[in-house]
Amino acid sequence: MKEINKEFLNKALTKLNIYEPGEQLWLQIQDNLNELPLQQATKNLAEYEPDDKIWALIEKEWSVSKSRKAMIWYAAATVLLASFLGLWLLLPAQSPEILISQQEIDSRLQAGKQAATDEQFDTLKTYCETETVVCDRPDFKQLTHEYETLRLASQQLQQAIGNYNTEPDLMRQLSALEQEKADILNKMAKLI
Amino acid sequence: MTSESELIADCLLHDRTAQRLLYDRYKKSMYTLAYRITADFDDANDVLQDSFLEVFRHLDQFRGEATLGAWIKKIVIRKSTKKKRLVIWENIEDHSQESINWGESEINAAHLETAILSLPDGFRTIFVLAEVEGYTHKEIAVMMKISEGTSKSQLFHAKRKLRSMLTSG
Amino acid sequence: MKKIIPYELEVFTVFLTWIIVVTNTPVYSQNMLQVATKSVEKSIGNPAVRTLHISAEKADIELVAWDKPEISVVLELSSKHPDKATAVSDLNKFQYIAERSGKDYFLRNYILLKEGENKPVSNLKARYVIHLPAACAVDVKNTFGTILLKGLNNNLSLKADFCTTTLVDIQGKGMLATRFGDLKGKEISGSFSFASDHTNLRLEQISGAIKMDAVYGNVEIYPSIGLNSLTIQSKKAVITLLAKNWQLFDYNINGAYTTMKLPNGFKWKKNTADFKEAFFDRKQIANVQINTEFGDLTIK
Repeated sequence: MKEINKEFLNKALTKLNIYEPGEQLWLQIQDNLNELPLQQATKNLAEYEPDDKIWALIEKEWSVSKSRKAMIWYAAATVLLASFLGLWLLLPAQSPEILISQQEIDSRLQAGKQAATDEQFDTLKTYCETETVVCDRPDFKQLTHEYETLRLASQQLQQAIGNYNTEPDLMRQLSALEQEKADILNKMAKLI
Repeated sequence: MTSESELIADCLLHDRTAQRLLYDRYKKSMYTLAYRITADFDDANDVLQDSFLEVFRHLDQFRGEATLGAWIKKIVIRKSTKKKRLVIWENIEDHSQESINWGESEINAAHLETAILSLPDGFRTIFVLAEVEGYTHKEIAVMMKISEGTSKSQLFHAKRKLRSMLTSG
Repeated sequence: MKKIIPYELEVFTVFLTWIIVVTNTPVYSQNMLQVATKSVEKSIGNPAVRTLHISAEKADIELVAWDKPEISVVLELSSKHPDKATAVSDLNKFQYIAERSGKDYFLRNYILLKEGENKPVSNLKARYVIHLPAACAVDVKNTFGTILLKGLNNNLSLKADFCTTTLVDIQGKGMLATRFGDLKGKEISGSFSFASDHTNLRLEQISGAIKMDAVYGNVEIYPSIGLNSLTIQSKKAVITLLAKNWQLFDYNINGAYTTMKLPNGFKWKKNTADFKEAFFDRKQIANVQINTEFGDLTIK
């Protein structure tokens, strides 16, 4: 990529704003820093070992209720399994449901082919290949640049409109753009 | 002025004054960088806070391969792009034959600022890293986990879009 | 012997061919679109969302404040094509993100193509209908669609390309950048910056501190008494300031190559064909500063 007159960009870049955070940001950082030692300390808390007698008590308690608890667990598991199976069979698919409806196509909302303005602009550009006196004027060049900006915007809009457009707002914008392009073309034609 | 090594040594001892000094030394440049990438002051606040906390937590891992500022900047860039959930798709196009003309007169810095902030996130990030922060495409590729070609392509598109926003008078 | 078999075979072959063609040709009317739609509804409660981020394309977005603490989102994705199967297939390529990250919530619609898949050919559209607390900050990006923001009073960030944007009863502060399209605002109060490029802007009942940077496009401003400061930087835009009591503000006007129409009462520092400087100074609290290059400026 070649860059012409890049010094203008570089100069402007040196003049960009510098921003400063508010004072309260340091206070928030400070609060977090104050908590760091506590967070560190909680990671390093001591571990304690229980007495062996406690395990003996737990074991005793466990064996008495083991068989009773086992029965309850088996029953619970069966109920759960049956519920999941039922739900799985009954629930619809997780992704949202797709609904279908119809809408009539309004031919007035469909973008046409290449605008007449673009054809005329291309004709002017061809003219400028041989007649450079007018076409090299700054005001003519400016109009050309502006037309090309609008043309690009128009192309982007047309792409967004696509096929089967149903949005009047987008067509309104396209019409307005075409009108602006026509105005510029008229100005360019007057200069020639 | 305290030297960088003295500052780091005091910060490692959790000296609050030293930490404040380090923060003050870099806060403007890092906040500005965070804001340019996120284009949002609240996000920039969050990024700056997270970044400096990481700096103070992991300062013992700073080995001095680069300057402290460069090390902090990488953290800020990583946090900023994560904040924006930035995803840059690999897209290598050859723009070597194309040119961008920055106009015939000075560019208004305020307009440039607005235009930069109006760029799409991906374009803006690459532009800021390359043109404002001065990273090479190789460095950007490593930071953003993309290819050099994609970095160059993104920069071209960013500049083209910027240029179109900054119509010359 | 009469050869009836070949004739019947011929008829049968034609009939069979017709059946095959008809059953394999997508049957659709070129005047009707099949619209495939999928919707998602979400209610986002505690912890409260600080900023809602919407990154949309080809979407109609409505953000309306309400007095409940939660955010309600209805997101509808639709795909329109004369052929139902195509509409449905393209809808499946149309995806969304709706997720929280800390104090922020992200909404986004995008197109996802699996390997080997073609780009969608249908008309794709997203529609966001969101109700949220007025104090929720909002960051909206959209292209080729519509945006409605109503009743918000916190930080607002807007980036709208080729959109029709409407702001009603908006307070607080914000940065609004538009490219092409239209923006209409009514009852805007606070500290707001507008950067518009080829946009038609109409702002009614605006107050507070307003900054505007307009390149091309039409800008119509109807300030209210509460306007403290209005700074306009314009390049090739058509600026019109309409106020019944325009004398309530002090003015500083600078124009280069601009056509200016100012009411009686302005004093001129410079008034040549190409360069004009005018002011109106009654030592008011509220002031208007306008710098223009090319374009038009009218104050009435």
